[in-house]
Amino acid sequence: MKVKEIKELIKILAETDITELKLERYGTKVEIKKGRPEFAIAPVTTVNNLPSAPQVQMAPAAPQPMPPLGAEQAPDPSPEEDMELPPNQVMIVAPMVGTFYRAPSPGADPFVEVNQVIEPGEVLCIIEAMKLMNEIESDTRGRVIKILVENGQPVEYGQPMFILEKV
Amino acid sequence: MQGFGEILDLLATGEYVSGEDLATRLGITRAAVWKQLKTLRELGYEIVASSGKGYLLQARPDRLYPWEVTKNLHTKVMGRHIEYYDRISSTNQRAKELLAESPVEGTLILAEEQTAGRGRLGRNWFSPPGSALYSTLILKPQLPPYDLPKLTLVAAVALSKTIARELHERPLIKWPNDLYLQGKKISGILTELSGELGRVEFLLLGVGVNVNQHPEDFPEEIREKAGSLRSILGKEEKISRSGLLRSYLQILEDEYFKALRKGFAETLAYCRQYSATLGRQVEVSDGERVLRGKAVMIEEDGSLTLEVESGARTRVFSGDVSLVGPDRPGKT
Repeated sequence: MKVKEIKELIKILAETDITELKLERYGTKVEIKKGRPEFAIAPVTTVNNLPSAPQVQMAPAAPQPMPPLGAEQAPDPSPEEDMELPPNQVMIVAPMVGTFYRAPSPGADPFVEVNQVIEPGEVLCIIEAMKLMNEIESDTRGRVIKILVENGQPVEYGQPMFILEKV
Repeated sequence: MQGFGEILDLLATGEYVSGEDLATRLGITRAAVWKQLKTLRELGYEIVASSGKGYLLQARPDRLYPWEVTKNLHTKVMGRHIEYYDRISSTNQRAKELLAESPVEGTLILAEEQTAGRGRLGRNWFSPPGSALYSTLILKPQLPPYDLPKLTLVAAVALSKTIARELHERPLIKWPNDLYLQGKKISGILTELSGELGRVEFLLLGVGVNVNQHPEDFPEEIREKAGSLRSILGKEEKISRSGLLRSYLQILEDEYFKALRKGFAETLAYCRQYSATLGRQVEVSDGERVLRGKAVMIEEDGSLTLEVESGARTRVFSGDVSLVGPDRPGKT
C-alpha cells in the first residue's frame, strides 16, 4: 500500500464518525485510530477540533498561575514551553509561582552552571514565594545544557527552568 | 542532653526536699542525685541547700533548655523532639543538616545565639545571646506545592496570636512574614523547603523573635525600625522566652493542622484583619525592579494585590515589601 493511499484513508476517516479502521491487504496491515483521548467523556468532536494528544494535566486542582511581580497581564507563554525534547533530555519546570534564584545568597556562586553534571538530590535553584524558599532539587542525574531563566526573574507555575541531558 | 524535668519538679514545690527523698522518688542513688544537682547549678539553676532540711530551687536560668520548654507542653507534634544549642550558625542551617537523618515531624531546633542567623537569601539577622528566640521547626506538610507558601502566613498568624495571648498586645502582620508591634519589627519568619521536584519532603519553619533586647542592643541603623517585645511594651521584668515558645508551639499546632484539614480561609481572614500592610503605600522589590502602589487585598492564594498609580491592579507573590508613608518605618 502506498503512502498516498494511507493518507487518503486518514482523510476519509477524519470526515466521518468512524474512530478506528483496520485494513489488511496483500500482507500489509494498516490500523488507523483517531487521536482522541481514550477516556474522553464528551465525544462531541468535530473534524476540525480533534485533540491531537491527550492533555497533560500536571496538577488537576492547580489554581490559575499568578502573575509575577508587576505583571499586569499574563506574559506570553515562553517558546520553550512547546519545545519538544529528545528522549535523553529532561525539562525541569517550576513547581510554583515565585522568584527564581540561581544562588543561595546574593553574591554567592550559583548552584549550577551550564555543562555541569548534577546528581539526583542536588539543588538547582531556589524559588521564593511569600518568603518561602523552595530549594529545587534534581531528580535525575544529568548535564545542565540550558538555563532558561535569569537570576531574580519571576517564574510561573510549570514554566521551564532547566534542560538536563541524561548521562 | 539528659532531661532534668523530674528532679526540677521535686525541687520546685516551694519546700525543702532532702537528698534521700530525691533519691527515693527518682529511683537513683544519692550520689547520682548529688551529681544532678551539681550539673543543674552549672546550667544556671539556683539551688539552695540547708543542712537538715535539704534542697530548694530558688531560681531558674533564662534558658531554653528542652525540659523547660516541654514542661506543660501539650502538643502532639510540635516540639516533641528538641535539639538545643548554646550557640549555632543558625537553627535553619542545623535543621537542614538534620534532614539527612529523617527527623520526626515537629522536631524543634533551638539556640541561645546564632552566629550566622539569616534573613531572606542569606541576609544577616542580628542575634545577641539569650535575649531572642531562635527556633526552627521541621514539618512534613501534605500539601500541593502552590499551597505551601501560605504556611508562612500560618506561622505569622500563630505568632501574632501567641503574643496577643501572652502579652495582651496584638502584633500586626506585614505581608507576608514580619510582625510589627507599635510600628517596630519584632519578628521575622524564614521558611525553607527541601525535597525533590514535586515531592515535598520537609518544610523548615524558622522563626526569630526579639524578646528581651534593650534598644541599644540593636545596631543604630535599625534601632528606629526594630525593637524587642520587652522594650516596646516597657516591661521591667524579662519576658519568659520558654513561656512564649510553649504557647507558640501550641497555637501553631492548632493553626497548622486546621489549615491542612480545612484550608486557609481563617488564616487569610486573620492576615487581612490584622494587617500592617493593607491600605498602605508600599514598595515591593524583587532585587532588580521596584513596584510602588497601595496594598488593597490579600487574595485567596495568599498573594498581595497592589493598586498602582494608574489605578491598575497587580498581584504580588514574591519580593520584599517595604511600607512607605508618614508614620511607618521603611524596610527592615
